[in-house]
Amino acid sequence: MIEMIWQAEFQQAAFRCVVEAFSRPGQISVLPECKHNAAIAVLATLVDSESSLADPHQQLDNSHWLRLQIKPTAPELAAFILCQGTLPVDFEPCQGTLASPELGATLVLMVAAMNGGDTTYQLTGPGIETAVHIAPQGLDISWFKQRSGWNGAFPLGVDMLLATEEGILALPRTTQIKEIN
Amino acid sequence: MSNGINFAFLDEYAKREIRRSVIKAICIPGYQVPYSSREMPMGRGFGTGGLQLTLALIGVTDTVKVIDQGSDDSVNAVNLRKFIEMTCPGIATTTRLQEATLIQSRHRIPEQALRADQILVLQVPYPDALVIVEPSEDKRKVMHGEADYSRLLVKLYEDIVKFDEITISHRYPTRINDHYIIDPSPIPRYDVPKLHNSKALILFGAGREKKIYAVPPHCPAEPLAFDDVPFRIEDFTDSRGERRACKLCGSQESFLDEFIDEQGERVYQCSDSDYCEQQQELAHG
Repeated sequence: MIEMIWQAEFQQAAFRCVVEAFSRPGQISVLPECKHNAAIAVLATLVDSESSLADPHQQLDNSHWLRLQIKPTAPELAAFILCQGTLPVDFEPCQGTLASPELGATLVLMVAAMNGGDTTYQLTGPGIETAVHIAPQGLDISWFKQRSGWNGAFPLGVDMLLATEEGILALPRTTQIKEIN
Repeated sequence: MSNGINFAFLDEYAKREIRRSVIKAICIPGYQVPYSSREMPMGRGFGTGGLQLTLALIGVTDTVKVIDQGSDDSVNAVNLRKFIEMTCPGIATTTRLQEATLIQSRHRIPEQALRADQILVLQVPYPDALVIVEPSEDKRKVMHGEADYSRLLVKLYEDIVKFDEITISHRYPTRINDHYIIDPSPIPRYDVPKLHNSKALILFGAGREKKIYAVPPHCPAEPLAFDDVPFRIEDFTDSRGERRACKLCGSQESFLDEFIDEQGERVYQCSDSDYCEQQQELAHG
């Protein structure tokens, strides 16, 4: 029996959660139940041999790569990058070009929890009615610091997705993040 | 449909490619994300862009509504709905807006407000608002990236000089999140303000032109205008200065279609058939 995350029905339902997450930044979407970390389930939903994936922090094992039917790409070139949030940023992701900003990478960051962290951030921008607050746990401060540089010149930039065991939370490049304590 | 056809017609690779494009479209509001636009068993121009979006989104728990020019019963809507029913066993279809989770539409945004749990998919014939001033796509892409819309504004200004008003009736250029200008598909001006701070996600699919773009929820959408010539919607007041009403439901708030009846009289009727029916049901209890 093929594991659930590689099946079409799961991927359709997971995709709708990803759409919901990116449409409403800062809001947690809970993926349908599966025996995998939400980050892996999202990659199974979006990545295939027509895309590219980097795994700089070695979060994937051989069976994942076999199912994805691709080989790892360098993080500087990849469309999707799977990252361990506790580690500091150690690469420069693709930010797209002025004519093709969609080539900016999607970073999937594995974090411990969406709330209860030491620092609270206020999010504003498209998809957010007024403002939302998040306080992720297990996210090195360098990620948001680097992000403001990467996303400094809209439409260029990178889009982020924080992932815990079951939930995801999106930070598209249009979301303004402000530290409030 | 018998075996051998994948759920929602498209193969999983095609769906994933559309899904990746949808995510980037949401992240870069108003930007036209290129995608491969697979061959569909119908002519390009029949709504294949919208249909591919619907098929990449749809799952067994969805209820779909398909409308064409506001009506659930016109040829394009009926055929697309039949195709979705045939290729997506287990889904439900409806004509009532309130029951739908996915709404595919051509030329109208429904009269009644959309909810946050609904997604609107619009079929787009011409995705690029700049095409009237710049024939080269390479140059248009740079102009979009730089948000350089001066030539489009000059075009609108020339309209005002010649005709004393901006003469665009539908496909009104609209600026999304203060950057990209989109062609909002051939919706009337009346529908353009509904893009602004919409509760629902709005996706645009252009099958022939191979583009996907989006207006996320709670996102600013401003129709292009000048400080001294504000944007205005269609005027439905008659010669006595009264707002015309629908001849079926009597609504004086809806977008009206004008046509000539069998007696040669000019009559007006709601363009959104579902809204009109619901108004009639309310009136008759």
